[in-house]
Amino acid sequence: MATKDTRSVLSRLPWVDNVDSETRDGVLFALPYLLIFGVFLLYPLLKGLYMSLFDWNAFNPSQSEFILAENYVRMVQDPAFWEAVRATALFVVLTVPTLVGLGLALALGVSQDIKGKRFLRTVFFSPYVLTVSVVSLIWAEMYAPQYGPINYYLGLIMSNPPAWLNDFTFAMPAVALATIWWTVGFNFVILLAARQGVPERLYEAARIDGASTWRAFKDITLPQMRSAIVFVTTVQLIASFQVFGQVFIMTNGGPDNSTQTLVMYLYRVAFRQQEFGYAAAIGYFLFVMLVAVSLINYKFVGGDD
Amino acid sequence: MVRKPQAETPSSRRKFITVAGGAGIAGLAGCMGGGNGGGDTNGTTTLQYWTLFAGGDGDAMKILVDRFNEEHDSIQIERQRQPFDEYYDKLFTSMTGGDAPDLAVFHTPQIQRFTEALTPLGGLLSDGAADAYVDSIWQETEFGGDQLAVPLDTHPNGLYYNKDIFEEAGLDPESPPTNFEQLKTAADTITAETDKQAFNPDPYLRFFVRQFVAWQHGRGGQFLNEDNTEAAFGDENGVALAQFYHDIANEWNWDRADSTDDRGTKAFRSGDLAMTINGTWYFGVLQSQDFEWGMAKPFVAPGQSSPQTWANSHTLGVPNSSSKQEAAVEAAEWITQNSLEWGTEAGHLPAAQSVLDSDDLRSSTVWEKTLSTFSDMAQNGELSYMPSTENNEDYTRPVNNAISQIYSGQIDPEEGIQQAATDVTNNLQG
Repeated sequence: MATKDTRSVLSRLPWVDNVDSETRDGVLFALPYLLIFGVFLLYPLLKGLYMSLFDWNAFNPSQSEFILAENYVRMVQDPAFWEAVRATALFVVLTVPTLVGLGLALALGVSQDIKGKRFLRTVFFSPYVLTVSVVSLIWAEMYAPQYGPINYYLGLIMSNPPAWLNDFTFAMPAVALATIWWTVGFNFVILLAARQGVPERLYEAARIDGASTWRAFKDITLPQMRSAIVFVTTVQLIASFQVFGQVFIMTNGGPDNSTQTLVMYLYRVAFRQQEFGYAAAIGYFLFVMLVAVSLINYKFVGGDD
Repeated sequence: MVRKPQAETPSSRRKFITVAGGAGIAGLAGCMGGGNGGGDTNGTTTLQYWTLFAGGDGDAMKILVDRFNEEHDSIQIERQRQPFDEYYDKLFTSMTGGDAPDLAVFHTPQIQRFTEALTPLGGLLSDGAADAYVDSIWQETEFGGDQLAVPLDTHPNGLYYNKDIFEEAGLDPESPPTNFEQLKTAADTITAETDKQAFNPDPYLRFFVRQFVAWQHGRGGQFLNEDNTEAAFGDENGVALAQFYHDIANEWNWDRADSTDDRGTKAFRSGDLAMTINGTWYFGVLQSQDFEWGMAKPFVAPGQSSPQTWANSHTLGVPNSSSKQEAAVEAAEWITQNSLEWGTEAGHLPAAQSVLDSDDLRSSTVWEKTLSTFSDMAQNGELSYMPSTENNEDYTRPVNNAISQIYSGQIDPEEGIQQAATDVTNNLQG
């Protein structure tokens, strides 16, 4: 029989007497995470919402002025904000479909019975272990107009290769390409694992029934991998909407503000312009948008899973 | 042998969880706790000192701090170098988070944004401290009647040129251009006679605003209005300068029409660019190059009737959260008044009059190579500081962006500079 002194410390609290031991243990195990979640996520989340309602004075918070929704009204009327939304949307469009599609193609390719599979897996995944600063500096050098290798070789076949990171047309696609090279390995690994989880007997049955490769892909591979594809797409959407490091290092938002994404604009507003209240409002816009996009993705693509 | 199960009871597991949880809470408390470390021990006050200096500047500052620590028992400095591009963001975060250093480096135009968080030094400075510094530089550190920092130097721009390329083009390497007409002749000759790029007005291609402000003043124009509430550079002077930036790369082919970061400094250091405009620190950078170089006054834009060059100062300020303000001010005065190596090693023009006048500085290589020219410009009142506004990005970013696009031929010069003026005014009044 369990006695009080061999039970959890929680049992000493009066209201815990009625809680069964399984619940108690569950709470105890979750507590460290909940503590960190509360301090580093929940508290900043609520504090951010609070700050977004003030003209926040960073040096003397007690002198901050309550302005209700003025920061949100300003956001809607701010051309620089909408420029940042446009730049972010462009980055999302350039990266998410490619990252998911290419990740899927690589996963399906490597899951075939081909030579050098292990080597290819390593090659596809290895860029993902690099940090954003390393990736950005490597690609900034690659794109360098005068001394970069890309323009060196282009210069052999054309007279005036573009200044990739300083060109309105090419700057964002150039950043997107670097990002795809860097992160496609993550999607590849998740999708490869999902593909390997599809029972081979389904393909055998399809072959016996005379199904084409396309039919097998459409009716077996895609439905079987749907959960993984939805997961990868959602994670990718969140990551792409939050892009910061690459543009900060490679273009600093330029040329003009054409690659200044939402998070970079938020950073500038907070740390350069010292307007934490307005920055918090922009942060909340991004937060709500990400929740909405994720829900839509699960609702329309994820089905019942 | 059957191993005896260990006496692992729910109680001991829970003890572990409790202890681990306690440790976690303690860790979190550590994260949240204030204090800037480096406390006082054995009667010694330890100062946390933040700088943004790398390369030759970093080496020179290390010499000064090491010397200070050797000569002082009661005060010791712990120097922390922060990355240049993120320095002020980190400093701002540390100040708002109550964990600021005791002493920190500030460029003069940046002081304005920190006025609420800096200690007025009036009562803490030694008697007659102001007299120890060049008056014009000292005045740049006074804000709203308060002395908020102690100046270390001034670091103006100069025209650096590659003597080897001048020779290759048949030009006299000892006669660099001193005005626009001479620049045009020299750059056109270099473009015609060599395969080198002739001239670039900002080797980093992202700080165009610096020399633009000075050249605008040099033409007799204003950059902002008197009370810094409106842009004034959208006038005929600003338009003429915008056209100059455009023509350099798009009309005269002196440089590539491309504003990618740092392209110019890579080209100059590689010996592919004949002339560029850069600050005092370039002396340290160019020491290791294998070509002959020289430096002249950068008054080479069109219409410079009262020539000016961009200048800035490194200064030392004391955050008001520091509990060691007296020691910090003592250290700031010592560093700035014993700054010989800041001139001889880093190439900057010291702000302390005694150092500036010293034989050690005036007989050094750097004096002959660059500092005598910089000193001459300072004496003649030819230094142009950037305006201090609540947030300097209000004007630096629009102007840098506009000139960057003008330089690379992506927008019309007149439209571009006037749009930048409108944006700056909106920002200043927003």
